[in-house]
Amino acid sequence: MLDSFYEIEIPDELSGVATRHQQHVAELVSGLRSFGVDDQLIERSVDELIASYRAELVTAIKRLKRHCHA
Amino acid sequence: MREPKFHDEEGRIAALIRYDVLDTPPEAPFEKITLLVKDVLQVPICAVSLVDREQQWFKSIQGLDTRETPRSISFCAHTIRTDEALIVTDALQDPRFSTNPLVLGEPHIRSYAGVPLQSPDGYNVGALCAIDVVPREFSDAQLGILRSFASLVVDELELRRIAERDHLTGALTRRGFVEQVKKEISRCRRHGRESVLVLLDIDHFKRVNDGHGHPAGDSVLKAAASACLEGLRENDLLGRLGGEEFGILLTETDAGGGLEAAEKLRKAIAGLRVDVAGGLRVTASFGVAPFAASVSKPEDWIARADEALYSAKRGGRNRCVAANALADAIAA
Repeated sequence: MLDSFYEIEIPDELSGVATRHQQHVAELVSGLRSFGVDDQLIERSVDELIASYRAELVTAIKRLKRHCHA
Repeated sequence: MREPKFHDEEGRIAALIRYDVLDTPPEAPFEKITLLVKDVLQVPICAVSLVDREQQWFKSIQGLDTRETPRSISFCAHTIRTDEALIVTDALQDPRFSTNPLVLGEPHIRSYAGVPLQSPDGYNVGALCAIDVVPREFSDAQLGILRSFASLVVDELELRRIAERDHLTGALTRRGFVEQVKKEISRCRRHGRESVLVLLDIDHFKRVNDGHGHPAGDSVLKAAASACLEGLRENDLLGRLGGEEFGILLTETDAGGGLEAAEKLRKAIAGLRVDVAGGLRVTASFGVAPFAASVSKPEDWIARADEALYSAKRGGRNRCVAANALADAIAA
């Protein structure tokens, strides 16, 4: 499975939800391919979803770190 | 494996509240998902719908200019009743929807596919739906795609929920808790409802850390938080405000009920035997502050509860004291 969160150190609290997200993206890609969706649209869709989630994940990690140091 | 909980409406509403997403503005991650669903399934309308007690709220919606509808006319309110996707190929031919105002009037819904947004603990908090204004079929492949997108919606909600939790105790973080207190102040002001804020502080916590080490202190915090969570109703909230201090928000509770609930929690904590040094015992002090007209922001309310907590500490600890009713302190 593609590691869409490379270079991000994911804390234990968030590793489960991040892994599930990767699995769900993989399922989506498989579903879109089966349905015959154009490869370019799949690529664009996945890029957008991953970029968006990645940004949210980084925000969540920063928030958790703030809590730990509070 | 999670057990779906279709008949526990109170639990479902509590799960929805935990996501803290109602009444919040549209946000990019959800907008991207609904836009993609609209694009891939070739539908004019797509929504992330969250089903509250009386309303369905759209966290994101494409193709319609509305943020909510009554639950009574919501298609998604039907979707959340089972684990399966709900498919309506022609709403005019379906007795459940043929007289629905969303079918007979704008936006003239004729076909619908919705899949539940199920929390990891099995509650269907809403649905991701694709809607068309002409009759149509939805294939298994299309439903599979819709399910995958629905999972991504839940992933987004879960990520936010986890980031608002204190990892050690499972309580809300200070930031998350204060945000909830702020919202409760608005609800109290708008609907004139009664709620109570409680602050609790573990007595002599420093002695636990100094005498038994920080892992022992962590065990005490976990045990105390767990005792509180067990004793609270599903709609009540527990937050860790820092160190050994916690906040509890008791919604739709009057002053007497608040003091009673705090007293119950005080006894529960005093009855704990924490698995440290052969069974460590701890107590906690409580400050209880019912919502008052003078409260306009969280800091005001917290200060009132803190004042009562200080009185409980000064009065000998292991007791509950109500703000503005210090004479009524319940001594242990």
